Formats: sequence, structure tokens, C-alpha cells
Amino acid sequence: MRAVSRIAQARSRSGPELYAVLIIAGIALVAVGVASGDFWAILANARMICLSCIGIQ
Amino acid sequence: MTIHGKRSRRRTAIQIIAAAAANSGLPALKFCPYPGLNCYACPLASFACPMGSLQNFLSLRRFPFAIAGFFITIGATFGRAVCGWACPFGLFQDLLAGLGPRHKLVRSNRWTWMRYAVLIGLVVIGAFATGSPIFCKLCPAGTLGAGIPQVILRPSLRQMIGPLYWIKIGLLAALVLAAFFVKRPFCRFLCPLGAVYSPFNRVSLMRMRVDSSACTRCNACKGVCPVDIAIYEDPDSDACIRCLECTRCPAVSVSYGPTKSEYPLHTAGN
Repeated sequence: MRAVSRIAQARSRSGPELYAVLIIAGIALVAVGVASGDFWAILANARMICLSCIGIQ
Repeated sequence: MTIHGKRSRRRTAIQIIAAAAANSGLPALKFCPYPGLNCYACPLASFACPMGSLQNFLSLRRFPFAIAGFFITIGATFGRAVCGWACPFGLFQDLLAGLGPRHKLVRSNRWTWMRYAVLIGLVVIGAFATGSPIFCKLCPAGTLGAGIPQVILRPSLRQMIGPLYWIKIGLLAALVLAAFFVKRPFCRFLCPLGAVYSPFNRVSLMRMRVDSSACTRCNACKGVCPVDIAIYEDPDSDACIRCLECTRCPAVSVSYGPTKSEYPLHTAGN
């Protein structure tokens, strides 16, 4: 239990956790995507049914 | 330790709700990718497929900022929990596993590297090099969710069925057969979306934790695991789908937050 506590203390002292940095970076990338119109491109692609993709020519 | 019951009914209920939400017939949400593998050509699809959207950007030679941010945010928060709780194709395989024999084949995860090969080879290089969504042309989730329903609902399409359709049906049939005897074969060995989320298991907010002083290494966790992992060997394994079935053992828990709690914070109930 002491070992776990030491690890926990060490982790809490080690500054921002990597997941927090990644979540912020992910949200920033989504924001860049919004600004560059990515979601319109996703919508335009999703509205079309790609018949060749489902094996229909 | 003993883990009673086959699987968490709560997880099954959440998987069904997630699958229903992903296929609720609200196309207005199609600007947003769904976190799990769900084909947007499904007649009832509400969201975009993340793999299809990623391939679309790559085939256009355009960097997928929003998709990359989406994957990083989901992965850094939950790791592969989407696979265990929200993927309709994962639910399909779980149900098939329940119909098959109790003792499954292929309990090793030695071939899980293949899903990275599918991600890099078919999804990234394939789409970028050919300008076409190569993985979609083989995706069994697409065959199940879109190929078969579209042909049933639109009789005019039946005359245009090509050889690829039958190849896709064959792949799906092989996977269905495999899923009776091997737990989640697609998720473990082939899914490129799982490969995207897998590395985040080691750094995500949601982490598995094993109390080594309480664990007897009885392998009860491996018995209930939908991907045949003994969680005490590596709680951060990239194969773990964070389904929390193993948290029914008191030695296993899940932690959220900057530090690991010494006590279980949550366990999956029946």
C-alpha cells in the first residue's frame, strides 16, 4: 500500500498528465477542423451512399 | 477469486442503446463521426463512420484535422472503452460468441498486430495511394449494416450486384463463423478503429488497475474477458477494450483522474 501511495504521490507531482495534454490537443485539432470546414466535408461524404463500396456497380 | 455470471447485463444494455442511437435514422447528425465502427451507408445511420471519413480525407489528400482531434480526444479520455461499450459491430460479435460453444479457440492475442497492419496498409496507405476507400470495400461491418440492408430495401440494386458484393458477403460469413468459436475476432485481429484507440490505453484518463496483493492469478478475469486478456499481466494492454467485465473481481478496478486511487472506484454490475 505504501508503494502505491508513493507512486500516486509521484504521479501527482509530475505536472500535467499526458492524457490532459492529449485531450487539449485533440480539442484544438477539432477546432482547427471546424475552422477548415472538415465537418461539411464529412457530412457531404456521409450523405452519399458509395455503391461501389458495398459491392454494387 | 470467482466471477459469477457470463457477462454484465448493464454493458449489454448500454451496447444496445449505443447501437440504436448510432442507427436511429436521424441523418442530421451525419456531420459528426460516430466513435465506433458503424457504416454511414446503413439506411438508419445517424452518424458518419470514422474510418470512412478518415479514408475520404486521405483520398482527397487532405489532412483530417477534425477526425484526428476526435480520435485523440476519445482515446485520451476512454482508451478503447468505445470498443467495449459503444461499437455496434462489437455487440454483434459478443452476441455471436454467446451463441457459440462455451470453450473458445484462439485464446492468444499474438496476432493483434494485424489490426495495425490493416490500419496502415488498407486505411492510410490504401486510401492515400488509390484515392478510394479500400477498407470500406472489405469492411464486414459495412456489409452487415449497409450492403445487406440496402439490397433488401432497394430491389433495383439487386441487378447491379457485382463480384465484390459476394466477396464481402463471404468475408462477413467467415467472420460470423469465426465469432462463434473465437471471441471478437474482428476487434482483436483486424479492426483499424481499434488500432487507432489501442495505444491510448497506456495514457488515457480511464485506466485499469490490479491490486497485486489481492490478485490470486486465478485467470477468472481471462474467462470473462471478451478479448481473452488476463488483466493482471498488463492492465494497460492495448488489446483491452475497457469493458470492465473483469472489475467484477475485487482485485481489479478502474480509475479516473490524475492519480491512481488505492480503492476500487467503480465495478461493473450485473
